[in-house]
Amino acid sequence: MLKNLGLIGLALAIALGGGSWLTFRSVSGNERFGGLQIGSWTAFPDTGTPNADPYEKARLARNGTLPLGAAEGIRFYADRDSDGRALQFGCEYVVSGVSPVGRLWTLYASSRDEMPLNAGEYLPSVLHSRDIVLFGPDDLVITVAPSARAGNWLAVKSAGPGNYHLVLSLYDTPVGTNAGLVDMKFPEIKRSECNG
Amino acid sequence: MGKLIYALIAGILGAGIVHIATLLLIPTVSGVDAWTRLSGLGNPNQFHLIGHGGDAAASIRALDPTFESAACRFDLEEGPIEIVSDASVPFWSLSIYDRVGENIFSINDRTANQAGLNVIIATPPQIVELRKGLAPELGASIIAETRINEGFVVLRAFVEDDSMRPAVLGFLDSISCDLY
Repeated sequence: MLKNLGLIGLALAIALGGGSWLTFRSVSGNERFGGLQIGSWTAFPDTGTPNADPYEKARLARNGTLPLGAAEGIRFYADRDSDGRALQFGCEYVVSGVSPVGRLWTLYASSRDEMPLNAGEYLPSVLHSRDIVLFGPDDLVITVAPSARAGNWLAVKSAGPGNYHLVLSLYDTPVGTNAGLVDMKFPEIKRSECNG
Repeated sequence: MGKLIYALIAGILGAGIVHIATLLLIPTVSGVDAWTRLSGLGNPNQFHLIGHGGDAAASIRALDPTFESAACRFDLEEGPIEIVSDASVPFWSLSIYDRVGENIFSINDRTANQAGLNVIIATPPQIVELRKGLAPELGASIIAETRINEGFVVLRAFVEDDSMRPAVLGFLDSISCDLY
């Protein structure tokens, strides 16, 4: 009898503990299902709409973010370079390729919990399509580095090592609303050098 | 031994059930969703700037630093809401969210197809009422039909550089969010 009680207790402990842990992991972790992936960049166009899956709905309720509406734009995240290595604070990256499609775009770095990073006063912690230099119509080159670089420079600094995301937001854009109709080419993220 | 395996299987099945139940419950019981965070900013029927100071843990995350944003909570049970401003900025966009923070309507300054910002948020029965006594100036408004009562509207405006910031903040400050 007592042994049976123990077994029931064990089953309950696994059910409650395991179930809650699964929920916590799937809602708080960085792994997300689905998404629209283009090169290194991933967007979640369904997040924050009634079509979102239950995982994204729970994540939205926990994080309290305000996802962009379809007419506003779409936000792409990259946490890896084009070779699949995680973006690190100690490294310098070159984002290059075709300019994204849209009336306006912005690029900034954010922490893994979606807080935009600030490299410091007077440093360019965020770039947008109206303050960059284009070397040709399809020749976007942005250097992401902790110290100043010639051309378009996005400052990303941190006291210690760690990983971050690059966030590319496209505003008033057809990308995401009619995927497949627009030839979607996105800039590549190439690692150039690493210190320490 | 057989019983132990039985208990383990029951536990794993139970974990699946608990996982699904908690996952589906989170949106209804969450105390840290966007609505709750915006409630801390001030009264409804008034736009409040978001992302300026305040408690970091209770603030809205993932805001684009090149934008200034303001949010207004409303309740359509009291009547339709009118969002109007005469000022203009290079780029603005507007989204209506329901109580759980899901986006149900969005426009930007170009899809609005006119110079100023003039949106009326109403439920289908309220729209019928509005059309009955159609005021001439209503023709210029965009009518956003929603099937919600409580919700909030977020306005985002682009700040091209810091010298534009006062003008953009002035634009956000000029927007009314009152009953129509």
